This record gives sequence, structure tokens and C-alpha cells, in this order.
Amino acid sequence: MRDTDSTAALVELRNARKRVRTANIDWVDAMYRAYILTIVGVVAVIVASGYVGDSEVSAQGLVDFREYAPAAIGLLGAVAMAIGLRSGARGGPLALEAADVRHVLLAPIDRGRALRGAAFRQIRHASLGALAVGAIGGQLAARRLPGNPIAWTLCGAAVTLLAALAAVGAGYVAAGRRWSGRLVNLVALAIVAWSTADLAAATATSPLDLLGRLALWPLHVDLLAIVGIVVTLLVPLAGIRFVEGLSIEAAERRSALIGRLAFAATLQDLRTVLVLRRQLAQEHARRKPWALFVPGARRWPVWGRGCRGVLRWPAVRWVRVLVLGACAGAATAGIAEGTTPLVVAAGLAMYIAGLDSIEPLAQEVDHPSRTDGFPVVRGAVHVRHLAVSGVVMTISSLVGLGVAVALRPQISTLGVGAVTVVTATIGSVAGAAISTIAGPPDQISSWAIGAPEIAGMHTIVRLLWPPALCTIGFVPVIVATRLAADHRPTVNSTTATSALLVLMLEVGMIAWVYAREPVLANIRASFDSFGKAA
Amino acid sequence: MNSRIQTTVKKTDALRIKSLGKSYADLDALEPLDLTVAHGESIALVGHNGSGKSTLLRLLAGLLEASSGTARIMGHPIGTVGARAALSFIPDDPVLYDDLSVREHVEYISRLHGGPGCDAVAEALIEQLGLGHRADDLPTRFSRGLRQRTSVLVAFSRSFDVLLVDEPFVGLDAAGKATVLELFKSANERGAAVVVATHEEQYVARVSRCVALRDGVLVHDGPATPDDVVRLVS
Repeated sequence: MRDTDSTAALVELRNARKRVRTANIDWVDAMYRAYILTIVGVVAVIVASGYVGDSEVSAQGLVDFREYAPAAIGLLGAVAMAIGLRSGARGGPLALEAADVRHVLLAPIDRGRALRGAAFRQIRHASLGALAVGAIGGQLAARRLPGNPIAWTLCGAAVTLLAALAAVGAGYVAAGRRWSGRLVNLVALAIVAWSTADLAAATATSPLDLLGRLALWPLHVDLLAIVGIVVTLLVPLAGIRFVEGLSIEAAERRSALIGRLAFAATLQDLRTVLVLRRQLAQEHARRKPWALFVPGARRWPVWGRGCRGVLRWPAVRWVRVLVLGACAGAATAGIAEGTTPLVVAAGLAMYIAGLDSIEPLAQEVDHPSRTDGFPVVRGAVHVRHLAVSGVVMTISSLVGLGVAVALRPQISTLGVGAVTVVTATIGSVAGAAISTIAGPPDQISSWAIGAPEIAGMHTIVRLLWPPALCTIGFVPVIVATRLAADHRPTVNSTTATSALLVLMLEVGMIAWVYAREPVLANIRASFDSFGKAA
Repeated sequence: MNSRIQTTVKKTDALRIKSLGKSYADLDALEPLDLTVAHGESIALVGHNGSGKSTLLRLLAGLLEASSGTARIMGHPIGTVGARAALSFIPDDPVLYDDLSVREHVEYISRLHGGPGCDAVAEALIEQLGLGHRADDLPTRFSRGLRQRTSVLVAFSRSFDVLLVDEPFVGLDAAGKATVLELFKSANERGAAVVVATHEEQYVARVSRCVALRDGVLVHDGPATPDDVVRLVS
């Protein structure tokens, strides 16, 4: 048997499959999707432009931008590369078809040839997304910065393209060279730390920061950026070279999970997406808990069960929840400095952390037949689970408060922050809880099969309300910022009233967790009796 | 009748395993074990659930990476091109393409292995497995049994010296079982080594050698009657 014959068969069959797929595309549907995507994209750019504003930055702002922007852009690239590396340690970012792993990778053909096609396809998709994001970023920059708008757009697109290539390529290198999780973490940490140090020192020495200088070419052509371009281009080239070393074990595990993940995402089944993502990241519960003693476990079994679950969290989940709390804290400091849109970032960070913290409740919701056997109302069990989640989110919020105070060391930060810790914590727990108990959308419910406009609105509300509730938890900070702008005390009756209103809403949502099932059952019964009467 | 099985002159063992083991963190799925399988030999691999049968087969197929030891298929280390050319694996869960018909599967897999594609021999095999009337249908629409037959078909539509099979009789009706047993027998007769993880009495009664695993440890390697198998897996 000749390898060229097998490879020719592989290429021929893949092309045939591609032709069949292309022939099966519903072009009207595809064009409709492109149309919707374009509208959403344009609206997003307009909204973002509104926040960025149209006035040119001040002279001092321009000096600061020149000084810090390369390192800040480099840091974003470093984080992307770190994510790519971590994915590589688990066999990513390549996601192969399960049947390809079994039949193609186990066939006696050159694995490099078999895998490079898939790698190039992935790089192509990543590049398209990166180009779009970079071009939009360049457009937004051009509105406030001097220089040619086309140059900003092109440079922005080039930087994000190269950063994306480096991130994907780094993943291929880590996967192909079979780097261990420890080594990957070390390399990722070193890359991010280098860029962070550059940012703190207002310099740009790391390759990714040098690439960041390319983004500023419309202001000043810095030839050092070429070094960054060359170095970042070497990473994907190395990735393509080494991808053939991919572990079949990792590829098979990943292919099975990615397929299910994509299906769950299509059904907007957030809980399944979370569970599968944890499996993909090989984030398993510890066999030995961090601590054995759980106070009150005998008296309050639901509390005890929740604590035992949380005490088995792997370190990475604890780190994630705390880092998300820190991010929310940093965003809160930004809100206090006048960048109100950061409230969305803070809310999203708390929502994601909340979804992690709500795990004991989610486990209960996953298996409703278990709660059927409890001599307690199901809603009561659900609400009792929120206590553990509340403790976890309080710790996360306190980390956030620490970061906010560190970034903005003022007594008012501490005062407003203390109030916000309460509202943000309860908001994140309530948001995550209502998202979890709602479960995936019912594909045959009256909402889903109703008029498309109503079904669409219902879907949007379902998806957006939980994170919105988490975001509302930061309203006291916005109120305090407005008060500060009016030179009034930030912690006064207005702040307290706003916090109280937010708390009432959040407690109302927790009451909904308790009463959801009987209320929905009553509504259904009413509809049924109305239908019979009609 | 299938004639894909390679019948070259063999000087090495078909399968030679030395201290092959697999562990996940602090869990030993398979303790290091030694095993040699000769050409034309037929082996029943038995053990209770979680005993390590699938782990051993998947290690040999190259789907899992060994934590310790080595294994050679026809003298080639597992996972290498030579080993992949010599080994055919039928997993317990049929993994098939969603957008290829049965016939297209045969065409693809056969040609990937340097074969002639879906020729007359393959067509005969399709008929033998009772898939003739569904040969142009997509396996996604099949029942578990028909998918299992397709999986067997795919494994036999290419040349091999060693056949590894994990629970092949699940979902098969009596006729399907008989056909698959016949295929294993013909593979043996043509010199291929066949290792099947199963407790199926009809197969166990036919083989001269039984390998039993318990909690990842090799506990028996030799002849065994169906009654012995019941004792070994209990």
C-alpha cells in the first residue's frame, strides 16, 4: 500500500463530503442568517461607538495612550495565547469529528497530512473572526484618535489576526508536543506576567507588546513592531509543524465532548454547556475534600450536602471564582472612575462565578426524581441550597472589594463597596439560581411554537434576565458615582434606597425560586380549565 | 466471503504486550500485564464491568496512551503506521459518519487503507451482513443492531492481521450473531489473530484460550469453559 494512495483517498472523500454539504445548504436560510448577523454587528458597533464617543482625546490622553496602549494590547494577546496554550494541554484547540479520529487517525496514513487540513480550516475561521474584531476596534479608535481611519482599521485587523494566529498556534504546539498542564501553566503565566510587567512599567518589550506597537502605526510607525510580527508568525508555523503529534486519546475525548457541547449550545442549554465545558477542561471533583468537618451538616442536611460539594471543588474552580470576583472588583473601580458601561463586565463576571457557585442546586435540578422522594417542598430544598452559594459568592465579592479598594484607595470606595458586596452577592446567587432552575428552553412549549417575534423575544428575555439581575446588583455603585459627580456624599440615603430596592428585587427572585413550580402549575391548570370552558 | 485479511508469512507474534498498564491519577485502570498472541489465534477476553477489558483493547488500538510498558502489533509499536495498517478495531460503540452511506463508508475506509474501495468482495460482505437493502442509507437512521453490523462491515472492509473487538454482539439478533461469529472464524482461518471482549457463550465455547481480567489485573490466561468464564467474571 502506498501512503500517497491513502492520502489521495482522504482528500478525494473530504472534497466529496464538502460538495454534498454545500449542496445541502439552504441558501435562503443562510442569507437570512447573514442578514441578521450583519444587523446585529452594525447595531453593536453603533452602540459601542456611542460609549467610546466622538470627541478626540486630549493631549494628555494621547500621551497616555501612546505609553500604555502597546502593552495593554499585548496583555490581551498574552491572555489569548494563554487560553490557547491551556486548550492545547487538553488536546485542543483542534476539534475533530469522532469518526475521523476512529477511522482516519487510526488509518495507516501520515497524521500530519490528516490533521493539517483541519488545522488550516480552524485557522481560517479564527482569522475571519479576529479580522472582524480588529477592524471594528480600529474603527472605534479612529473616532477618537488622530490618524487615517483606514490605517486604524487595517492595523487593528492585522494585530488581532496575528494575535489569534499566535493563540491557535500556541495551542497546536502545546498539543502536538504533549506539554503537561504544569508546563503549560508555567509558560502561560510567564507570557502574561511579562506583558503585565510591561504594562505596569509603561513599556513594551515582550513580543506580543511589540506586536501591540503595530496597532499604533497610524500615529507613529515603530519598526520594532516588525519583531513582534515575525515572532508571532513563528508560533502558528510551529503549530502547523507540530500538530501531527496530537494525542489520539485527547482528540477522541475532545471530539465526543465538542459534538455534545455544540448541540447543547444550539438548544441554549446553558447547564449542559457548563458541565461539558468542565469535562473538556478535565475539571473533576477532588476525591479528598479540602476539609472533612462541615459545621451544621447534621442539623441542616441540604447545607451539609452543599458544603461537601463545594469542598470537593478542584483548585482551578476556586481560582476561577475568585479571579472573576477580582475582575468584577476592577470593573467596579472603573465604574467609579466614570466608565459606566463596565457595569456589564462586572455583572457578567459575577454571573459566571454565580453559575459555578450554584453547583449543589444545579445537581439537584439535574435529577428532579431525587427531590420527588424528599418529604419537603422542592422549592424549599432549592432555596436552602442557595446558602452555600451565598457563602462562596460572598468570598468572591470580598476579593472584588479588595481589588477595588487597591485600585481606588479611598474611604468612599470601602463604604460603597461594602453595600455593593451585599447586593452583588445576592444578585449573582439569584441570577444563577433562576437561570439554573429554568433549565433549557422547551422546544415544543407554546412560547417556542408561537409567532416567531414572540418566541424570539421570550428567548432573549430568558437568556438576558439572569445576567441582567447580576448586573443590577451594581446599581449602588452607579448611584454613588453620580452623587460623587454632583459633589455629594456617596454613602447617603439615596445610595441606601437604591441598595434596598435592588435587594427587594433580588429577594423577590429568590422567592420565585421557592414558588416557581406551584405558580407555574396553577397557571397551567388555569389555562387548561379556560380551554375546556371555551 | 471476505478475503481482505492479510495472509503474509509471519515471523513475529501477531501481538506482543510487555508490562502494558494504564492509570488515571491515582486510579489503576489496568495493572501492567504481559501477553502474547500468535497468528491465527482466537482469544476471548473476559472480566466483570470495569475490569479493564475495554481499556486494554483501546490501548492496543492506539486510542489510549499507555502509562507504562509497550505493545507491538506485527512487530510495530502501537500507534505507528505499521501497527495501524495491521490492526482493525471494532469498538463497543459504533462510530460512523453522519453523512456517509454504508457503501460510502466501505469505499472510504477501504481506500484509506490502500484497498480497492467498494468492490465485489465488499459487496458480498455487505450482503453477508444483511445490509444489502440499506447499503445506500445513512447509518444515523439505523437501529443499534444495524449500526453494529455496519461497524463490523467497516472493520472487515480493509486488510488486517490482528482484529480487536469490544462487545460485538450487543444489539445483534441471532442471525447477526451467527454471521459475525462466521466472520471471526474466517479471519482466524486466514491467519489473523482475533481478540474479542465478550461473555457470549457461543464464542467462548469455540476459542482455545481465554484471558480474564479482574480489577485491572490479569487473573487467568488459558483454556476455559463457559462455566469457568461465569466463575471468572463473578
